[in-house]
Amino acid sequence: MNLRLIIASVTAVMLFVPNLLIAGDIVIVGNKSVAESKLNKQDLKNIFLGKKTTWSDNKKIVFVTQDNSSASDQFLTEYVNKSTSQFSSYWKEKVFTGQGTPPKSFASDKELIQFITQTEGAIGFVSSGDGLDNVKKITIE
Amino acid sequence: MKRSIIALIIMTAVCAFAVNSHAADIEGVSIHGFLSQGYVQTTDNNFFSKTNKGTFEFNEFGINFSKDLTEKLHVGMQLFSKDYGTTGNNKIELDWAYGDYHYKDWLGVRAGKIKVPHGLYNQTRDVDMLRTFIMLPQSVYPEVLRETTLAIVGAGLYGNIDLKKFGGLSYQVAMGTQNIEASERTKQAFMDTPSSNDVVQTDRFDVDSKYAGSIVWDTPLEGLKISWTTGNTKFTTESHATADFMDWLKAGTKIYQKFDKFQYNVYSGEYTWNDLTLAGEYMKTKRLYAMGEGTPDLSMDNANGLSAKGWYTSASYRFTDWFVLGTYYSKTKSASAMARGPQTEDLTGRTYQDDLCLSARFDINEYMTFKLEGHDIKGTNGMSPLDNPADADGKRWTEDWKMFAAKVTFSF
Repeated sequence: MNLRLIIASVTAVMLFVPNLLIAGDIVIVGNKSVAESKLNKQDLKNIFLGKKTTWSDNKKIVFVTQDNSSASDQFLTEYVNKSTSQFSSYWKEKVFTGQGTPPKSFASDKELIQFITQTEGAIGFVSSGDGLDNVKKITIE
Repeated sequence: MKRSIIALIIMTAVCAFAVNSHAADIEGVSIHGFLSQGYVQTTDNNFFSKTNKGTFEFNEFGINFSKDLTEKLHVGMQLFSKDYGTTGNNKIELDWAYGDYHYKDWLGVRAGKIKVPHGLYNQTRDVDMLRTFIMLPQSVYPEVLRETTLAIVGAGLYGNIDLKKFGGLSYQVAMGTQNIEASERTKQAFMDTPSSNDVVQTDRFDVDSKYAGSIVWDTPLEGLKISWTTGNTKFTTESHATADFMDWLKAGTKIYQKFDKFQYNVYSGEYTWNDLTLAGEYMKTKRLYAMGEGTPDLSMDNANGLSAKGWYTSASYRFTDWFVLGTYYSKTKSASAMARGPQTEDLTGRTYQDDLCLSARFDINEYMTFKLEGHDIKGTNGMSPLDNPADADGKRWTEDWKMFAAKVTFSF
């Protein structure tokens, strides 16, 4: 095989596979009542930091997370720019100064999806695209 | 002391069995809490109380309750108890309690007892678990004035503004008054008193007005935030002489201090990059007060003006999930502490304090943290003469001294 073709192929794999893995691992989901089907990264970050509290139709945003898991670590690092411990400290700071209430946290994708299905305005993340018939996938731009 | 040891034993037992504890939620009321117990040992000078003999009188306990009454209306309160030597003595007090109406993300209203913004970390200084260090840098967070910088009883506005590609802006403003427990130690701290004649007792603090505000800019550079906080308190103190002093102060004489200005400005920056956090803050305080005998109606025409400034830089790095190492260098300089008070003793070191701190934090689990910390300190500015009585030779202070602290904290 042509050496240049091999190098190009390997480079392409190195460049795109990590992105595909990230894109494939985390899926942002919302209750079907959520007006938005797309969010930018800054809006998503502001939601999980409690700085954006309403959807475009003025309905309250209910954001939820997952207990310590690789999906949670990946989501917080990728979209909130905080490690799990930094995110935990951020919300403890809000709690102990009375400036906010930390998000509910769930032990599994299944529990989180069940909550989001039943809760108007809810948004969260799951580790795979399976079993999402009753929730709305939200694209991150 | 005995009570603190009992508290430490109980807390350790609670921690040992509460590894899987979570915040409680009863009928929609969220309940969170924390318990800290520490030990402080200093050489020579007393940081507070009798720390040069070592003390367990160094703890904080807090529990808070909050509930969303409607989508926009939130209420909450926190009960707090601490022991810092002669301060606190584990009396339970209302730390904060307010109603919060969140009109829009850019505008909310709070009314009640509200935590005061002062630098980056004042609002969370009671909660040891939220930082790397046991002692916050004294240049910006002087322990002797901690009681007076914590809260306002009144109302305030707050909000977050999305600046799109320029980041985000958060603001808080609050106005009102404050209850300050009558304390000669606190009054002397307000006056930056270099010494003490030990014959005056403060009976009353009467705060006329207080305001505080902050602006925090989360810059477009991810992890970098810059802030400015400011505040001012106007108040009057009433004291009396407990004995004759020299030939100008008779026992029983009422003494008043009217502070027209106790103002601070703090400029702060914090940068977080992965597991590294760098921070730096600069504070300048201005004080303007008049003093007189017999009546609290004092003219400010011949008021005393005092100023002080301090800064620090800090770095902390999380090496693993359970281990964080941090250090800071803090420097305080008071322009006027030497200019007043009895000059009959050696006051070398009273105008400044340089503090090099090294701290290790161990996160035992999500709910329990243990810290060890050492300080190499030069200067004694900001420390209370009342905690450091003069010895038989009239010597009160040691310019070079050390401090060691250990603390365990549990939160849920």
